[in-house]
Amino acid sequence: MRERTVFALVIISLLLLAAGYIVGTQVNLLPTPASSRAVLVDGLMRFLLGIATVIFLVVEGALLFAVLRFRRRGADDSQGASYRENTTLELVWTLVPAIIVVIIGFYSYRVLAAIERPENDPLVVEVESSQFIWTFHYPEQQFSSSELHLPVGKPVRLEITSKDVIHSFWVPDFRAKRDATPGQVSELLITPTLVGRFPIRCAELCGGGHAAMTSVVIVESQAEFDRWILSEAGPAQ
Amino acid sequence: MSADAYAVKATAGWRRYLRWNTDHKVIGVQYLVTTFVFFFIGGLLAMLVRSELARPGTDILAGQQFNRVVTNHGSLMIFLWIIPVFAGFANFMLPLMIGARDMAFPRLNAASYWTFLAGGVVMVASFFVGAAETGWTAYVPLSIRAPDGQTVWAVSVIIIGASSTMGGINFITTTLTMRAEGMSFWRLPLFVWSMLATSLLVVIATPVLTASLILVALDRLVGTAFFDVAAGGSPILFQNLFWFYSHPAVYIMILPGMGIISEIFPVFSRKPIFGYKMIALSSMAIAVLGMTVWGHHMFSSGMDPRYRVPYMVTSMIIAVPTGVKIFSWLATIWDGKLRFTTAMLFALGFISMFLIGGITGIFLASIPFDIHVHDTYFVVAHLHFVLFGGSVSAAYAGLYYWFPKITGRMLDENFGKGHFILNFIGANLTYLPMFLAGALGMPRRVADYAPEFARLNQLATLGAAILGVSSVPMLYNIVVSWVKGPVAEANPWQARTLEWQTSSPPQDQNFDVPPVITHDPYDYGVAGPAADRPQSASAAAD
Repeated sequence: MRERTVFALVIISLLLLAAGYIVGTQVNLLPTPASSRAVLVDGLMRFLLGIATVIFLVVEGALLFAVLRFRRRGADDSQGASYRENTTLELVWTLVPAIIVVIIGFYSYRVLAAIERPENDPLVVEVESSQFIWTFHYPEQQFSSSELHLPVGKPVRLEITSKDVIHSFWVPDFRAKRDATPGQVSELLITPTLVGRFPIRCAELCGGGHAAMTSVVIVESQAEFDRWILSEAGPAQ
Repeated sequence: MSADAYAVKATAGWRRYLRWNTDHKVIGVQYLVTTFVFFFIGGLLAMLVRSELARPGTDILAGQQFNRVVTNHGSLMIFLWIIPVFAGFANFMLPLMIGARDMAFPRLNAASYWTFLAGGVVMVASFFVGAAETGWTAYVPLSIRAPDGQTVWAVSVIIIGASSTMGGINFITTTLTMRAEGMSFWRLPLFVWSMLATSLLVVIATPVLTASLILVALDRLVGTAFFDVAAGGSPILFQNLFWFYSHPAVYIMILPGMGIISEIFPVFSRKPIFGYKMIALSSMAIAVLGMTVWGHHMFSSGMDPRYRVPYMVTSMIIAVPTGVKIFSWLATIWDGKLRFTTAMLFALGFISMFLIGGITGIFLASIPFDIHVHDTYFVVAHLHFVLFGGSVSAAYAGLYYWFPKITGRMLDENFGKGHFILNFIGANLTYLPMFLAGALGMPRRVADYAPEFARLNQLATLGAAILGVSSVPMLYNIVVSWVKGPVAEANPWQARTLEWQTSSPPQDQNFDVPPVITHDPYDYGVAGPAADRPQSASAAAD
C-alpha cells in the first residue's frame, strides 16, 4: 500500500512536470517578438506559464478528485475524518511555494537587469504625448513626425513625456511600455529586431479619445531609415 | 442602558429596516439589502460595457460616456458592493459568533450604515451631474481636469471611506472586548479572524485614500497645487497615496471571503478545519505584507525604477500565505463526507477561480512581464478572477449559508444550484478570453479596439450575458424564499459555531443566557454523542 502510494505520486509528479514543460514550450500567448527585450520577456513568460500549469493542475486536480471521491453517498449522516493538522505536509506547502517564488523572483530580476541595460550610442527619440496624439521628435536630425521610424538592430532610447495628462506608450510587439508623465522624462530602451509595422497604443486612460490614441512604429533597414530622414528633414546640417 | 432600549424597540416589523436602529442584526440586513441593490446597478453598468465591446467600433457609448460607465462600474462594485457586503455579513454574524449581545458601539454602527448609504446615494447621483470619468483610480492630472461629476464622485468616496473606518474600529473593538466567556483567540471562528485582519487594514489604510481624495478635491475646488506639475506638484505622489490604500483594499475585499469559505468547508465536509492556526495567522500575514506591496501597480509609471524590485519581492511573498490557505482548504475537504449544498458549491467554485487570479498575480508581480501587460485586459481578467471568482463567489456562498439564520427562511436549493452553474460558466467564459486579449495587445478601459480582438471580446460578452441571466434565479429565489420559503430551524446545517446555537432569526440580545465557550469552533469528525456538540456549553442545554 505504502509502496503503491509512493509509486503513484512519482508517476503523477512526472506527468505534471511533462504537462508543465509542454505548455511552457509549446503554448504561445504573445504576439511575435519584435525586439531584443521581447525575446527575454517571452522566455520568462514561458517559464511562468510552465510553473503555473503545474500548480493549476495540482490544485484543480486535487479539488476535482476530492469532490468525486469524498462526496457523501446516500443519506450518510456520519462524520468525516478527525485529523486537524500535519506538520510535515504544512511545511512542504509553505516551503515549496516559497522556493518557487524565490526562483521566479531571481529570474525576473535577471531579465529586468538585461532589458534595461543601456547600450552604447543609442538613437535618441523624444516621445511627446498629448490628448490624443503621439509626436516623435528626432533631436539629432531636428524634426518631428507623427509615426515612429526605427532602424532594425539599432539600440534606441525613447525619452517619454506628456504635455497634459498621463499617457502610456506601449508597443505590444516590443513588450515595452512606459508611462508618459507630465513634468518628467521617462526612458524606455528598445532594440528592434524585426522589420515591419507595429501598432503603438496608449495604455493609460487619458480621456474620451483614449482608445483612438494610436500610432505606428515602422522598423526598417538603416538605408531605408536614412532615406526617410532625408526626405522628411532634408540634409543634416 | 439606552442601547438596551433601542434593541427592545428593534423587534417590531419590517419598518425597522427603514429607520435608525442600533441592533447589529437590523444593521446587517440594511447593509446586505443595500449592497445587493448597488451590486445590481454595478452589474447593469457591466452589461453596458460588454455590449459596447461586443464588436469593434463605438456602437452605443462613445469615449466619454464609456469612461463614465467604466469608472462607475468599478467604483460601485468596489466601494458599494464588495467591501460593504462583507461589512453586512460581519455586522450580523460577528457578534453572534463571539457570543456577544451586540457590537461594541451600537450607535457608531448605525452611523456607519447611514453614512455609507449617504455616500452611495451621492455616488449614484453623480451620474446626474456628469459622473466621474477617470477610472476608479482617478489618476491626476486627468481627475483634476475632468468635469464637475468628478468632484461629486470624490466626495462620495470620502464619505464612504469615513463609514468604512467607523465600521473597522467597531469590528476591532468588538472582537477584542465583547467575546463571551471562554472565547479565547484560538477559539474564534475563522471569519472573525479574517474580519479582524480586514478591519486593521481598513483602519490603517482607508484614511490615506480619504486624505488623497480630499487633496484632489482641494486642487479642483480651491485651486491648491498638490498634484499640479506646473506649480511643483507631483502626479506620482497621488499614485503612491492612492495605491497605499487601494492595494490593501484588495485584501480588504478578499480576506472576509476567505473567512466565509473557511466557515463553510468544515460544516459541509463534517471535518475539522485543517490547520486552523495557520489559516488564522496567514490572514494576519497577508494583512501585514499587503501593506508593503502597493508599488507593484507602478512598475511602468514615472516612479524611481530602483524602488521596483522590493515591491516585486513582497508581492511574490504573499503567494506563500495565500497558498497555505488554499492547501489547508483542500486538506479540509479531503477525507470528508462532502454535502454539495449551494453554499458548498460556491465555496468550491471560489477555490477553483480564485486560484487562477492568484497564479496570474505572480505573473503580474514579475516586473518584466508586468511591463508588457500592465493596464491591459490581462489585468482586467486577473482582478475579476480575484474579485468576482473570489470575493463575489464567497459573498454568494455566505448568502446561501447564512440566509436561513438572517431571515428565518430556507432558500430553494434547486434555484441556488442553477445560479451556481450559470455563474460558474459565465464567469469563466467572460474572464478567460481577457487574459489572451491583454497578452496579445488590448489595453484596458478602451471603448474601441483593433479588429484582431473581435473574437475574444465576443466570447467575453457572451459570458457576461450568461452572468446577467444567472442573477435572475438568484433574485427570484431571495425574494420568494424571504416571503414564503420553508421556515428555517435554528441550525439547519448542523453547524457548531455560535450563530447557529440560537433561534433563526436570532432573538433580541441574541442568546437567552450568555454562552460559555467550551470547545473549538470546528469540532467535527468525532463519532457518537459528541457529533452534535456545539461550541458552547450553555447553548447546548437549550
